Amino acid sequence: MTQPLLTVENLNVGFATKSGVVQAATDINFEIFPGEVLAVVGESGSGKSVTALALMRLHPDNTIVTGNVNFDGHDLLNMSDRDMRAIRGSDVAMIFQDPMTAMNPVFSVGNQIVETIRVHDSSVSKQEAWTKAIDLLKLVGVPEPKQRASQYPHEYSGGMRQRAMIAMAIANDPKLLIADEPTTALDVTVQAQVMEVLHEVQAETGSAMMLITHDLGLVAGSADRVQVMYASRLMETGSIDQIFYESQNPYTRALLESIPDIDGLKEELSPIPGNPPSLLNPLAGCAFRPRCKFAKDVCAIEVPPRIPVGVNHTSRCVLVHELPAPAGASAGDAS
Amino acid sequence: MSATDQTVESGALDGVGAREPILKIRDLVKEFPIRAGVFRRQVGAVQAVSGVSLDLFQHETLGVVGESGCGKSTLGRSLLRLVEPTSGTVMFGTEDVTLASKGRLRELRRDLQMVFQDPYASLNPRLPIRDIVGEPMVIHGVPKKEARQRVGDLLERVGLLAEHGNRYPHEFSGGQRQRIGIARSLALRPKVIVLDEPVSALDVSIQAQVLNLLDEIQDEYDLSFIFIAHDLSVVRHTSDRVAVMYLGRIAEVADKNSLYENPAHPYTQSLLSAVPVADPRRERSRSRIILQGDVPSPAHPPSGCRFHPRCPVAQDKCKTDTPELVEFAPGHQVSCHFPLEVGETLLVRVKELGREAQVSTKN
Repeated sequence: MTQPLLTVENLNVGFATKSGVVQAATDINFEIFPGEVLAVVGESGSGKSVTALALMRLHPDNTIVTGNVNFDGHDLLNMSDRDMRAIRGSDVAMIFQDPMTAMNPVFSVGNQIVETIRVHDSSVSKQEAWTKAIDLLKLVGVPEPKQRASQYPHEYSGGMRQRAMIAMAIANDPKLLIADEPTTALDVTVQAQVMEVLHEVQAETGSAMMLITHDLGLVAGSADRVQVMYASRLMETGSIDQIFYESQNPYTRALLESIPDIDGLKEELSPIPGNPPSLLNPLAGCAFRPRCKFAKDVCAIEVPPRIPVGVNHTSRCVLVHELPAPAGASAGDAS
Repeated sequence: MSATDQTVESGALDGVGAREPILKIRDLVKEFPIRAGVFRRQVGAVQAVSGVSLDLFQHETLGVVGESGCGKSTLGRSLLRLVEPTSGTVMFGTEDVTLASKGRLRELRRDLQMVFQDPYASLNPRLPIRDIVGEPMVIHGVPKKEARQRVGDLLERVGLLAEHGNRYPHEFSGGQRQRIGIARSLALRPKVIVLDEPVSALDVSIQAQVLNLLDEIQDEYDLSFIFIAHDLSVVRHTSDRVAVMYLGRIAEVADKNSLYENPAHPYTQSLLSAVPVADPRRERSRSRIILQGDVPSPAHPPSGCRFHPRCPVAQDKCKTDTPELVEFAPGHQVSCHFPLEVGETLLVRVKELGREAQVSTKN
């Protein structure tokens, strides 16, 4: 078996606030293998972006991070800032949701790519880096890359900016790309273009990708494995088919049942009752318990452990052995 | 129904039969001037809505979909004259909303209400919920005591508690705020509600709650909805008929099953194929047509058919002649010179024309 590229063990991320510590990511354990796409799904506030920021050590100052993060033999949480800077942007690169705020408005797009290249390898001349920047823009499908390289971010459209950010992220052939809601700000037709670019780039460079999104459709079309987060914890982890068709977690199932279907296969929507939990006053036991239709008294006793339910498939639910058979196995055959 | 309900009708619907449209939009245009220079002279115009004609029938939900900047929100706002339309008519029953005086418009808005996208920006943070929901009734002269009683009923109807009336907007989650916005829109027992992206700011688990609530109140209050959204799955779920907009114009309008199963406009077909489906098996079996380029700026819309620069099957005529919205099949209108026949896919048409399109497949 191949060695994982990234191993995260017992990661906890908390924010110190006036009203106490808000636990934004709790007891996070996962691996990413070379070349695979791992999707992290969850609703707002579930902790998916915080996890990614903590891995990259991009979290704000009031954050308390504990645990172990091993990336390709490097201990990311305990290395010096200088060493971390060498890895960030070269071996691990990030693509953010909003390219307008992630790019510097006073430098041309080409110059920003040149900077990314030369920060990590000062032996590359400016001229060489500029040529490479143009090649990268061409690779991500920016038309007329020569002229576009000397333009500024505001002269790009939303979809083009996102392509430029992808070009910047892959400039140093990263082994891992972390894409945090890369297409959420884009229209569907442009989203399709950008996802296509991401897949092509990934196929070409062989890098692994951690895709953070709330869009289960995007997950279904892109991921190899999925982890579902709720109230700061990983609720279920499995292969894409395990999650969509053989889910052993009531939250995952409820989430899938609550979204409308474009082919009109759902007569009725089954919403998840209640409201998302507050992270400030976490509930004893399972955080999903008040909204869960299967909940029993045992759910209140302790936070459910991650229970293995299949090959590389775990679920945080004490009732896994009592849940009805997943309904998705047949419903998915609609094609 | 109490006696006061009678007084809150605008009377514009008197004599309108049940099968006739409750709202008739004809050639509606909204242009925003672009000004420049010292004297702020007008140098151009953003053509947000350019010649839209649509009917809304009683008790139906008309979905309006399109990408950002296609004019769908401006269309919704100009129906209530929250933005003043440049030209065109909006017939509500027997009365033209665009010609109504200020006072008359206020009366008409008892029947025409709106729910906004952003539940954080559309509620006054300084007012308790009781006043936010009750304000329309106070403005329209419902006695205080009765207004208070009705606020409590409305809050309970949308799934909140009557006691919540004393709280302020910041004490509620996004989904609850959207319920408050819905309660406010119901306060005057309207006939038509324009819903502008009512669920797009909400998490999926909450989205379904609000969609189901809208479904219930539509039956209970006998409402007609204009449902503006960019999410095609949500629109299919909620609407009876769907209009697809592109750069200020209607590309296609049909009952939802014809539109989703037999899209005739190349834009509709590529839009539908771009939507990711939350089902890995269907995703693997689909081939997706990737449209090239971005939506052009409505300040400089392309000539002829506005979709022609991105259309993989555009022909010479499309560059010069503007297509009219014409009947394609009963109840199915499309504005395309060369609409796709029933069962004809865009990909087949592309090949027939000897062209190539970027297609994404998962295998």
